[in-house]
Amino acid sequence: MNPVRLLQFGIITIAAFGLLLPPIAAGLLGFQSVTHGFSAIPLIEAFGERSVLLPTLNTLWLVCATVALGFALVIPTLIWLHLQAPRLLPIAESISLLPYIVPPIALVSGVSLALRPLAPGFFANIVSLIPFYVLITLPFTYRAIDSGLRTLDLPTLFQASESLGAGRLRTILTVILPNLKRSLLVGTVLAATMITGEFVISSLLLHHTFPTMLVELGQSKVRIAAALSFVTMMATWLLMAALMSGRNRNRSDTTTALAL
Amino acid sequence: MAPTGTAPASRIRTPVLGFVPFLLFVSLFLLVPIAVTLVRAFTDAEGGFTLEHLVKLAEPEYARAFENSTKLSLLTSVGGGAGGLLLAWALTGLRGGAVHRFLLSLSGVAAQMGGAPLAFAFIATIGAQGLVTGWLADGFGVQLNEMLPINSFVGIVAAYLYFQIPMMTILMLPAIEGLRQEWMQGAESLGAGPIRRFLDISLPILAPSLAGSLILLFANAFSGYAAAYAMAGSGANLVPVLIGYFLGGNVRTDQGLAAALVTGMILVMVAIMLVRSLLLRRVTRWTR
Repeated sequence: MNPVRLLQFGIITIAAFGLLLPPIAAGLLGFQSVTHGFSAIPLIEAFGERSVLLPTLNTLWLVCATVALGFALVIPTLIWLHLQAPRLLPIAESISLLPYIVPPIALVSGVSLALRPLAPGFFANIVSLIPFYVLITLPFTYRAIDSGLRTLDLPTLFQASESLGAGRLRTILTVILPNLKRSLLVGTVLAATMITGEFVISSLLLHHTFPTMLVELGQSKVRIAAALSFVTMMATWLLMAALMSGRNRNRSDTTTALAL
Repeated sequence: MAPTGTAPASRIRTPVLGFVPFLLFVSLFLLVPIAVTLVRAFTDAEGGFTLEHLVKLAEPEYARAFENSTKLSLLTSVGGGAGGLLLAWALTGLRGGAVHRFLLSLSGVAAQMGGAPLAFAFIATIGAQGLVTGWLADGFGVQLNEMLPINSFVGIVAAYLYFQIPMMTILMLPAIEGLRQEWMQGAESLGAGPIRRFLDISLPILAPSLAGSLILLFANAFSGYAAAYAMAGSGANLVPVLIGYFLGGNVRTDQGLAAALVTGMILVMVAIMLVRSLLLRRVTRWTR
């Protein structure tokens, strides 16, 4: 092996070690207990408590609602812009990147100063998190759908579909969406990753979600918190690995979406 | 045949119409709250104009928060940038292999791990009951958690590097893979050594995207909240944590000050993004 390869190999070994060590440590600390030895029983028992189970369920349905609403906002907008006003696309893209530039802590300050006083009832309900989750995932969903639409010849698809008697909605549902499967998948995974980790907004708007529960749990039961962290990291990794290994022709859209 | 007159592809008169819901959504939930916050930073209790909140930022406690946040962001973006660049370069040597895919997906996960799970993974690694703490105590009698408390500045830097390094790798990999072997071979045939090749070819070509990525890392660390909060609680004197403290219904809730802190933070972010767009303008020259 020549020295360059050796050096590269060394760097990769160190990186793999450094990147794997914290999750492994979390797993070891989380699943080892004095009473049960090495087992998942304490973790399973933790989910028997409402204070752990309910925030987790909250986060799960928030992910579904956010993804659904996010796509419902982005897909029609982007199809419209591609067909009717392609000159507005660069502007729309810059706007979609705004949530990436504005720190979530700044956003949530603005919300509690400006919006919460206007509709205190709405903000007392956990549903009020959804628009802000749509917003923080917007840079990712927008890019995923945009790169998918760019590979399609939309005017031709719409004309062909209409000549066969389909209306616009039917064309979107039966022609466009199936062609966006991969974009939808990438967007969904990235949104799910972000929301399962989002802490600032839910914490400062006083709602109970998976991350706020995790932080609270960490104050008293650090082992369970570590076990949950391990499970979260592994689940994210499985999703990412599945995304990257899928036989995708345009792998670049995965990496650009990741890197933004 | 299709009735061509109503073909959906034909442009209609009001092309902006379909853009309106999107604009309204972003305005209501992002632009309005931020604008109100910026105005609030200049408003006193009676609704008049004031600079008192912004002047307060110069007080040592708040100035130190900005200093700490800047230091944290600089350290982790430069350190993470160097580490991430090295890793990206090393990965080019194994392109297409299983190890390459493994590390790439691992980096993708690590780069996204800015929140509470990261904090607990680090507590499990270098905290009082941590894995590495145990190794060092058993093997060398070194008390790592006393030398490097998990809630210290250095502890937070270590945790931030965990996502900054792979973030840099993912950002830089496309540019590094775009470096043509022919350029290197050409320089080599003209007698340039590896250091000369790096300084005279790779660095100038990578410089703009390198600077752009470093700035993203800086912004990333500057706005981070969850990991620092979970590791050090309100004890971490960083701008985002401080804002959370003044908003969070604590004894010292002070909206004007929170708004001023947000304004300061947004000023830093805007300055950073301006520099980024200036630098990215140069990238296109090289990637063509």
